[in-house]
Amino acid sequence: MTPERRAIVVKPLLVWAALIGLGAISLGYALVPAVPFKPLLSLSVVVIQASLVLGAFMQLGKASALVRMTALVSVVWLSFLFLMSFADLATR
Amino acid sequence: MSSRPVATLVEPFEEPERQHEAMVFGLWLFLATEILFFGGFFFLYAVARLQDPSGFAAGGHKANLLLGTVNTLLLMSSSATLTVAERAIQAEWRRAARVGIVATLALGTAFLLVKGFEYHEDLSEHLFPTMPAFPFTAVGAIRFWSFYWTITLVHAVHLTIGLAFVARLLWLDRVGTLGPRWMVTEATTLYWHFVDVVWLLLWPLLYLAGR
Amino acid sequence: MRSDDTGLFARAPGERSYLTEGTTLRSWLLSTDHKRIAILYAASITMFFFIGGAAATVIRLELFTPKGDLVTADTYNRLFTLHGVIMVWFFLVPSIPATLGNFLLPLMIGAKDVAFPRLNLMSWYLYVIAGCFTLAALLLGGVDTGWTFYTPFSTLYSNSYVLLAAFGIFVVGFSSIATGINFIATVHLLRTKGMTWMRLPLFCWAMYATSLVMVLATPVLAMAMLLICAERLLGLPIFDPRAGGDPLLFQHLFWFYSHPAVYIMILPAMGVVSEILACESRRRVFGYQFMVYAMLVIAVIGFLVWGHHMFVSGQSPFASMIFSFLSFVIAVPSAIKVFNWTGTLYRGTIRFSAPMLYALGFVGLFTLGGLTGLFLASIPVDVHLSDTYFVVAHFHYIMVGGSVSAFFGGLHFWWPKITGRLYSETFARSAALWLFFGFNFTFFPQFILGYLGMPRRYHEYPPEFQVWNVMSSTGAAVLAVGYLMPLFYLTYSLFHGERAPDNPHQATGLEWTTSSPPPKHNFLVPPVVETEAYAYHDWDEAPGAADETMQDERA
Repeated sequence: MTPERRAIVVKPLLVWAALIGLGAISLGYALVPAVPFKPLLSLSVVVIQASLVLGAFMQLGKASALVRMTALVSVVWLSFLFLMSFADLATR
Repeated sequence: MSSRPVATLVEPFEEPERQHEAMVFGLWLFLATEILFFGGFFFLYAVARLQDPSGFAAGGHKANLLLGTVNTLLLMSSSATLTVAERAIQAEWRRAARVGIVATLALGTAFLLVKGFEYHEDLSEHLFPTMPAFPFTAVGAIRFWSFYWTITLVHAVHLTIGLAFVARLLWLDRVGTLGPRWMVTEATTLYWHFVDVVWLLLWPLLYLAGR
Repeated sequence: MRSDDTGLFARAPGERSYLTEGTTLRSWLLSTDHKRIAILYAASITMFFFIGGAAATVIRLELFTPKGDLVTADTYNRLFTLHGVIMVWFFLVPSIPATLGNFLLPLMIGAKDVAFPRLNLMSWYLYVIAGCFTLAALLLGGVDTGWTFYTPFSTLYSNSYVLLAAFGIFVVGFSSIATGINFIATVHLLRTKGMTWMRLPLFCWAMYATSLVMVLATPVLAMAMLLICAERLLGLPIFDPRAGGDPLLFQHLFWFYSHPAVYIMILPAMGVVSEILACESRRRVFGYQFMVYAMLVIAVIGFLVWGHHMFVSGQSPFASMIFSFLSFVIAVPSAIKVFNWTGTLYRGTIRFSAPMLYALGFVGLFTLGGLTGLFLASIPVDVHLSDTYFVVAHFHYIMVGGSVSAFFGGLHFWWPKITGRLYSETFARSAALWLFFGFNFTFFPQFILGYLGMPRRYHEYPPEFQVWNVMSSTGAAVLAVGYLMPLFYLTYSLFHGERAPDNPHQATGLEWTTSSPPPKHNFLVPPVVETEAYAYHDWDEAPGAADETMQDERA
């Protein structure tokens, strides 16, 4: 196998291993009884996992500014929904 | 990626770079709409969970952690195999591409089968809120299970559509045009990874909520 | 039909255009040519317009008399629901973008087609399929929830075809999204050489801003409709109050889309009006840059004001105040545009052609509608006016007085380009005047009715409101004439109209540099742009000085 071909197989494999490892941490922590901040930890793990998929698999880091802006804008707009609806729900 | 196969041009593009830019941009615009689409569901989840945390957790406790975790593993792996396939196509390494695509199809189909089995298990435990034998009365639990069925069905529909697109890649390989149409592969894999990311977020929200 | 036939389509023997390339039904239904898709859309939205209009006709007939004697209350509910659903999603949202936008956007930027022509065709088929679902709901007996589908009535208690209609709206949302994605990619990536962002015609900017809103808002509607379907079909208690469901939760999701949707409906109209006003007054658009920023600011802030539809629904006063404040803020860019249109007209050489009459009508009617929006943005006033005819009048002034006027104006303005024919200017001007006067007779009395307290969505009312209702219904008859007239003279022009030259209005803009109608690939040679938009006169020249000879040639 040429080095290029080896990289094609190995790089995704490494990312896959990282995703599994992170998932294991999340699962393990969730199963331990009576520890704090479980949702916070599991969601933080998801953020890291998502960043790995977005960066390493979807190559968002190497994409054009236009594409990265698109991804960012959708998240910002979603935050409008969350923030302003919660402004209502939380202050009733 | 230094040398990619010569790309097939589609109307109205006259240069491959422009076409590639357009396809990636167009697909991310679509993913932006999907982010907002699923985001609305997550908003509902947040509201439901914050309004009755104990009821919600009680409902979530009955979610099948084993099957959910198996599915997460399957989907994570399918993302990896499809990435291998995508890069292999761009390097014109057909055998690895074919193996990667078939593996992705297998893993994705396995996900749907496990999900179907899980649904069967859930129904046999009467975990559908309209069933008279639904075991919970807490508002949070009812809302957890309403959310569970809706979001997993919607995700499964997206995954099935993704599988159809991945299967199309196999077809393109069979007719020998997969190489020149490597941009189509890129678009397909972006969609597939997105379906994966949504599941990565769903897994702790659905299966770790009650722990 | 041979291509050298000077029948319906060709201007001269042997001339080829997008109309002559392929004359079978199949060539039309499977065409990926943006111009043909625009015409497919035009035909469909016209059909839906008249269906929605038929519902409105029955509504206004019922409201002639205080008693509910024409239809039952239940039928009346179904009528106004049908009217709203069809007019919003199957007429207004696609009208300018999918017809004029599809036809003109690639031409105006000097491109051969949109970025994704097959996606464009698919968006039309999605629209048609969605229309079938909604028409099915209608034919089976209709929906009685109002176009707003408020829960828990729509999910738990309504005995009507909510599932079918909600699913139809879900599908038409994807048509919208497809168009939006296509336009955004097209404007970013297919502009011809020399066409920089700040040289784009304002119509292109309007299409771009509208597409941003379509792409970011519609998915949330899709989700809201899907949830209604899930609750109706599977019985899942999502909005059921007994399971903790909050009616306001649905309203937040619904209005997160539906408020930006009104900007989807008005931004394209603003683009059309800018084009017409500039050309027919022989003037550059006053404050081009601010016109661009205003549209973008409207598109963004439009996402932050949705709670003003929920002031009386139980929303927290704190949130209501935020939404109210932002609703006042969003009036500012709209006002800037109105001032700039006025500035464009100032010292211009005005041609009172039919498109110009529609455009001028727009400016006045939009201003009135917009100002009455400020009344409603004020919470204490809204408490009094909410769910009255004041609201109905407000949004009809903007949607009909604004968007529909602009749509008609644009249809007339670009008719020669699209069809290669000229219509009768006399008939067109009178139709424009019928529309303007009929519109005001119909909807101005409704402001008064609302202020006096008449609720909306009621098929009967106290006798003291009758005089205004009679005025409104009579006005509706006049308005209907204004809507029907173009059907006749525009159709007539297709068969017997004078052939149009390439640039009958002497307008600037790349679409006017190619033939009327354009060839299949728009331009024989890709154009190169060297000047900014609306170069009707030099910066230091008095407007109109250069073209005294170009007065109205078709009086």
